Amino acid sequence: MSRWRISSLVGWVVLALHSHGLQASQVVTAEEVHTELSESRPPLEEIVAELPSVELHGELHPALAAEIFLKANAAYEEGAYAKAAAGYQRLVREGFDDGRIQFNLGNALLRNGELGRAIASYLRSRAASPRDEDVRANLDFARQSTKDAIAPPEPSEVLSTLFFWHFRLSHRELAIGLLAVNLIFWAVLGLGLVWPNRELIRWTSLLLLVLLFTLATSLLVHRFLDRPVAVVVPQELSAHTAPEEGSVVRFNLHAGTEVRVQDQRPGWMRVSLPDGQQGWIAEEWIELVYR
Amino acid sequence: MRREGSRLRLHCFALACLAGFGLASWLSAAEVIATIDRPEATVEDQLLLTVVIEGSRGAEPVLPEIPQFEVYPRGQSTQMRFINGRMSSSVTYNYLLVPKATGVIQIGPVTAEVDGEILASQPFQVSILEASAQPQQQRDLFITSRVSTTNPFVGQEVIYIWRFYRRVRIGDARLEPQEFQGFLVEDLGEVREYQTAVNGVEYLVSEIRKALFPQEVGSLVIPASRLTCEVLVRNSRRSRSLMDDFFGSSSTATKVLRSARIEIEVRPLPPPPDGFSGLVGSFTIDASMSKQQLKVGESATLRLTVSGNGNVQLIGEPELADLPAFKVYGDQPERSVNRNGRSLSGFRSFSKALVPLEPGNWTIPPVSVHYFDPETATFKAAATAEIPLFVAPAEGSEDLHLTEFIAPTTGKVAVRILADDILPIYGELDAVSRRSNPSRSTLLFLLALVLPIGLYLSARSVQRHRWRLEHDVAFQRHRVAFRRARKQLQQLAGSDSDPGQLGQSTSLCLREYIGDKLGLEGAALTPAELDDMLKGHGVSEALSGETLDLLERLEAAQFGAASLEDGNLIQQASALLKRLEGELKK
Repeated sequence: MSRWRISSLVGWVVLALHSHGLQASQVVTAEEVHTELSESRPPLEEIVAELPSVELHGELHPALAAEIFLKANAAYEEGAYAKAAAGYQRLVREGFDDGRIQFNLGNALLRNGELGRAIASYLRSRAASPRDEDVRANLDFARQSTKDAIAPPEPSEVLSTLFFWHFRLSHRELAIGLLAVNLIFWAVLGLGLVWPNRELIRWTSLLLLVLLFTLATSLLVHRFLDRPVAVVVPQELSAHTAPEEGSVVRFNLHAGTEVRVQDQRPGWMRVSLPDGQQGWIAEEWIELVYR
Repeated sequence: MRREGSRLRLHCFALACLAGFGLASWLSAAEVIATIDRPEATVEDQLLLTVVIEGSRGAEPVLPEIPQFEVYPRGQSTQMRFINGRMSSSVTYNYLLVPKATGVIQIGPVTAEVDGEILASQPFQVSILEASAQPQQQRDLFITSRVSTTNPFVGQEVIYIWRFYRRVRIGDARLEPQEFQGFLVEDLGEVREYQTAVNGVEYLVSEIRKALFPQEVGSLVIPASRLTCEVLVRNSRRSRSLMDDFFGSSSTATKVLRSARIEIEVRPLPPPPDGFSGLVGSFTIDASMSKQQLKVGESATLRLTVSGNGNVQLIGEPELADLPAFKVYGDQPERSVNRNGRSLSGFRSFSKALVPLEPGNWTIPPVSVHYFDPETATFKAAATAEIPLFVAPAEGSEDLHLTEFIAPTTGKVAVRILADDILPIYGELDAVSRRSNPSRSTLLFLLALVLPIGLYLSARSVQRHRWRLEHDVAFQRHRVAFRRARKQLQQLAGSDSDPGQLGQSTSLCLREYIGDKLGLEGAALTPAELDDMLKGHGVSEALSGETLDLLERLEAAQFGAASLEDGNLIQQASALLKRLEGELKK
């Protein structure tokens, strides 16, 4: 009993060291809106100029963030989707990247004709709220508009059922769950000091240890093994045989297509299709989404 | 009489011997003999051809070309004989011949190569007659096939009915698959089994129905179907034993039944009118709206159903006139084909969601379908009636109802998605929450992860400490040794006992202290032994020497050799105690 207590302790210290940066940003957001996709839209500078811009100590005050949110919502309702998208993007840039804002941003981008960016926003929203049916519905709707007959890189039904906690819990929920189970586990071990040799305590602590291991593995897989997904932004994007502009074009992808990133080089990403075909695409024309 | 009978038996024996010798001499020569089991048969019968090759065991016969028969090998056997001390052998091959046509058929010589010599059998003739000269109704089993018409239009449904009549037990029936060249074929249900009487004779009938749709103009042929089966035949000879009577003396015979081939002359269709759908048969079209009063933005379902008899597989979507005041969304058509009736029937249903864009009184114009009616040999049109629709202005800002029940009055039906759109944005302000600082979050996470571990270790350490205090005497002595010794020395410093007594008590106090610290019985040890022990536990040479010196001086004071006041031994003992505590703690 005491031996596995000690080994589990060592394990948790190692886990704690490895989990550095666990709550770090999981989302790579666009730095600016590419308006070249729609010539008729007003310039981005004009849209942003209309939004509140007072900042406090270099950070956007929550009250002002709320005002931007409401204005963006109003713009969306009026049909000014570019303006609404700019507002939501500003909030995301300032760190207000709640899943619901990403959802609203996805809606605004989709209405504005930016299919790739919309799908990326829905994917980010889903990463934050994996069980939100609205997000799933809108993501499915947006995916219907993609041109390429390529299945999105999603886990199989069997996998997502067997490891439901991994796919149905967000990164944040997994981390909170891990902390809670960790606390209960050590508390139960503490009770074992008071009432030693109790079978109930022994089995409960063993069960909790399994749970801890499961959640920790999920977190580590999220953090270190999950490959990001690249969503194609322009109407057509060439995938090359090598990470060079002049190399042979292997295939073309179209707006909204999601492909798994296999490798990264400065300015380029090697992506793979479901049938195993691979190609290099320029980083500037994709939206990268981490789960 | 008796003498005449014995003479007859003698003659018979002599004749048998002669015949045997003659046969023996005949068998000994290499020869090919081909025989047929009967010289006359009908097309429903099978013939057994036997080829015997005498004088060889390895030779194989080569059959002549007999296209009038289908030939199936039925095994071989080898015989060996010893005749007059000479061994001869023969091999027999059996073939089943299934007639394909009637007439007198010449079966040419069967050849075989024996010892380098080509041998040939005698040719012979076989008469194949028409299927039993008896009328069908008097036969035990027969098949018929007929069609509903032999002069159809192209695309017209022709019902092909195949029946197998039997009144004897059969087994292992095999119907060869038929090829309907030039027809589109649809099976009409499974094989039907029923009993019927033909001219007073009861038969069991198996019936197969097919719907044939000629695809080409001109002469088409439905080839004869062929059914092979085993029929139980009771032997006509008298039973010769009790076993025969008990088990019955019957055998099976293979019967091959054929139906007549049917020739069909397919007529072309007359020049079709505009909008001809390609349907041949009898068709109707029906239109219904799920509701006839609706508001702008609401959706209603228009259901067009084309049904009828004929080539229902070709039912296409009828053309709906332009409806500029509506947005029209198509849906997957429903299809149903009924193959269980006497002919092929079915329907195809097309649903369309109509979403009015403007208020007003509108009508859905008639929708028609043009088909060819082979009964009257004319083109006909079936059309729906006009459907009036009243569209009221929309209320509020709602644009579109996404779903509605189709035909709610006909019971429970599936909810159909007519159109789709994204779900609306979130409006609640609680969505505006700042993401926490990543580095601070990580730190908090690590702290929260490690804190329970720290708490547990602390609790465990406290518990262990308490346990040692309660159960470990040496630990307890070690822990309180210094305090106790210091207290004793303070008491001794204030006491007015005689110097000998004081020296003894001080020495005892010091020795007990060292004993407690080292887990020994200090009072029983000499100063020299204590010196060694202290050195063994890492106490410095100097301090150990001083301790030894002090203990010896205390012993001297005990026996009056020195005064306690000399150098204030108790104070020295107190100072030494502090230094020892310092070093022993290390």
